[in-house]
Formats: sequence, structure tokens, C-alpha cells
Amino acid sequence: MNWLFEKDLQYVKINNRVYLMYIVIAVALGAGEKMRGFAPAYLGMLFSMTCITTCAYDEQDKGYSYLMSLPVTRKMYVMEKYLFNLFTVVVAVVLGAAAMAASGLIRGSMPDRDEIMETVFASLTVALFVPALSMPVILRYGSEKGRMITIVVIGVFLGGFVVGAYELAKSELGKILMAEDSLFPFSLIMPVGAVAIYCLSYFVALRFFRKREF
Amino acid sequence: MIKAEGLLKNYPGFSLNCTIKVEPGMVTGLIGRNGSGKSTLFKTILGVTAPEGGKIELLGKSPEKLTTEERKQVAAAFSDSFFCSALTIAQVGKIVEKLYGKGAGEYVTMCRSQGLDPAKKVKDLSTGMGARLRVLTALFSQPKLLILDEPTVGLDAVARDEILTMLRSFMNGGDDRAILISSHISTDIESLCDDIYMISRGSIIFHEDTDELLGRYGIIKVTDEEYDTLDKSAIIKIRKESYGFSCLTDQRQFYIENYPWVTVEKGSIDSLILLLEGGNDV
Repeated sequence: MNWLFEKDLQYVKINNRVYLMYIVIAVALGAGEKMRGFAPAYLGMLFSMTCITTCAYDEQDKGYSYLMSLPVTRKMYVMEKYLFNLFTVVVAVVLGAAAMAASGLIRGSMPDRDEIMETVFASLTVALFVPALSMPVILRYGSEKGRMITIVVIGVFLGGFVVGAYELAKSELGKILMAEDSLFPFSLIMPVGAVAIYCLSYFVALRFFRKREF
Repeated sequence: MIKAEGLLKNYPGFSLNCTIKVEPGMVTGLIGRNGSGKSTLFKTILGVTAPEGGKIELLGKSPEKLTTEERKQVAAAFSDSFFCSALTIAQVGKIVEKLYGKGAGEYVTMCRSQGLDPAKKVKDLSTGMGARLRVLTALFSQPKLLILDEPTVGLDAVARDEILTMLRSFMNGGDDRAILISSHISTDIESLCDDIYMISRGSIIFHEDTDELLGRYGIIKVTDEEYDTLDKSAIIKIRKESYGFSCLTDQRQFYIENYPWVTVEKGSIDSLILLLEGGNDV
């Protein structure tokens, strides 16, 4: 599987200036006191789109016909996409956290460890949702058609999430979850939920990709 | 090396139903018109598309039972499909070196020796250079079986000859190697292949050893009157022409000896395609 990882890394290198620009913007905008959590969230979100880019490159010039003729199973291919995405998101968020800490240090108001960890987990949570929702669609319909469908899927998911969270907050269960001494605090449910959806998304994507014809 | 029996694949308006065999030490050619099913057959054999019926054996095993290491002994090159063309040759090298467990720089060295600039992007290569790169990449894994879909399409005579030379030296590497190749260029097939399959509308309609085809098959050119007197027992297909008929036979010598006054030409792949595809039964 390491050659698939190498392939995606080479795709990232094609756009290294764009990724560098993202980092510069994240550091610059995150330097202000009021935007201290901006860099990890911003980089996590942008780097979470890498999976869509790498799929588009794979698809270019009827590339899937060639790729699938190489010694790779569809399971290996999909697994690598999810692992590579996880890798890029973690690297991006850690980079963002480092930028957050460095700018705090320069300003003389270094964020404490808890604040950094909270920001890192929140950023990772949000950053995992994008590929979790987009990958099955992209692998089923291709990057061109899939991009439009992904926007709809994310819109529906966000709408459902907002309504669901609002209803939950009003309910008794919501009050229990949001209580400070809750055994299952909301801040824990969200990252666990993101990981669960990410794993579930892998199985859905694999099922879709196995049926795809090239 | 390849054994496909009753391979089935259906698309709207097209159905593939093929039986084909590629033996070790053999170069097998697949000819047919555009849309006849050559690429679909190759993709089905390689597992790129799943067959709906039939049986495939690749290196003596069902393709899904091949381990990744065994799968590395099968390499393919397509005329229209490769790694993303935005990558440079050197970047492709990093990927395939990892894929086949080769040392760093081996791919680039090989490409340089074939006149390819590693700094060039795949999309910036000429048609000939691109074709050479695709075949070189397939050969890089040192496979036992090569599956090549139109590797010489769009190339001039010199570039085609270079590709064919690479394939001949691949075959000289051992009797346990084989090639399955498709091409529109009949001279390439005639000079390279040991046996030839012809595919039409998804079905194999002809299979013969190349030597047999060139030695035994022929085209008889006759007027309407001569056609009436001709023994038609060894005529496979006929086609109406302005002068009378052209007839495909697999007993050229018989007609040379018994009908010395008619024109009997040697068989060629082009005439075979023309008569098998466009001809009528006797």
C-alpha cells in the first residue's frame, strides 16, 4: 500500500505552492489574539479536501483503468485513501496547533495545553466530517459529478445536524449530556461520533467502489 | 498464462462473449475494428471490470486468488490510460519503484537510457515518447505476462519499431514469458505474433497461428464467370467486387494448383479483416 501513499504524496507535491499558501494564510490570520484557534481549524478543513483532489488526479486521463490493472485490490485502494486523508488532516491540524502556540509565544500570551488540545480535537472532528461525507460519493460517481452531489450531501448533513442538535439541546437527554459533570459530555461525543462516521464512511465507500466500472 | 472461457460482459448495446488462451513463450495478437471489444476483453482479463460469467485463469489461478506478489508478474499498458499526466517521469519513478520494490533511481536510469528526460511531465511527452514510457513502465516490473492494448497506436514507423524491438527482447528473456497484444497495424501483428485472434462485436470469430495464416490462407480474385466454376468447398468468405469476387480461402495451394488461371494472393491480416468482417458466407 505504500506505493499508493507515495502516489498521493506526489499529487500533493504538484500543488505544493497552494498548500504553502494555505499555511501562510493560516499563520498570518491566526496571529491575532482574537483568532488564536483559527490556524488548526482552517488548515484541517482545507487539507481535508486533499482526498477529493487525489481522486480527481487518479481519475484524470482514464487513470482508473490503468491503476486497477496494477497489483492493487479495490479494498487496498479505498483503505489507502482513508488513511492518507487521516494523515493529511492530522499533519495539518498539528501544524496549525504549532502555529497557534508559536504566535501565542510571540504575543506573550501562550495558550495553555488544555486550550490547544481542545482546539486540536475540535478541528480534527470538523475536518473528518468532510471526507467522511464526500469520499463515498466521489468514489461512486467520480470527482466531476461527485463534487456537486457532495455539496448537496454536506448541506443535508449540516441541516440535519443543526436541527438535531437544537432538538437535542431542548430535550432531557441534551441537558444530561451538556451538564458539566456528565459522563458523556458533548465535547467527547462529537470526536467519537466523527471517528465512527469516518469508519462507517469507509465501508460505504468500499461497497460503492467495488461496484464501479472503469 | 491466460485462459478465458466463455467470458461474459454486457453493456447496453454491446455484449462480450469470448474464449481466448495465451500460452507461455507465445505472443498472441488480438485484432478487430474499433468498438469490437478488444479493450473490454483486456480490462475483464485484468480484473478492471468484473465479468458477468465465464472463467478466467491468470498464471494458472483465478485472478482474485493471485497474491499481490504474483499479480506483479502481470503488467499492462494501455494507449489511453496511465498515471496522472501532471506527474513528471521522475515522480512516476518514485511510485513504481515503491510498487515493485526496486531501488531508488532505477526507473529514472532506465528511462534516461531510452532517451526520456525524467524532469518532463507525462503530458508534455510526444506520442512516441509517451508510448515508450508506458511500455517501459510495464517492463520495469520484469513481468512474466504483458498485456498491451494498442501500444503502437499513432506512432510513426521508427517509434513503432522501437516498441516492437523492446517487446522482442522481452520475449528473448525466457520461455516462461508471454504477451497478449492488440493493434490496428497489421504489419506489427504479423511480424510479432505467433497466433492471432480476431474479435468482432464481442465474439472471437477467428483464431489461427500466424505462420498458418500467412502460409495457408489466400485471397482468390475471380470474375463472375470464374466464380461460377470455382470449387467452393474451401472458400470461407466472399466479397463482391467491381471485377467479380474476392474469396478468402484456407487452402491457397489447392487453388494455385487446380485453377492456375485465377489470381491467388497470399493471406494477410488486412485482407482477413476485410473479408471476415465485410464478407458474406458462400
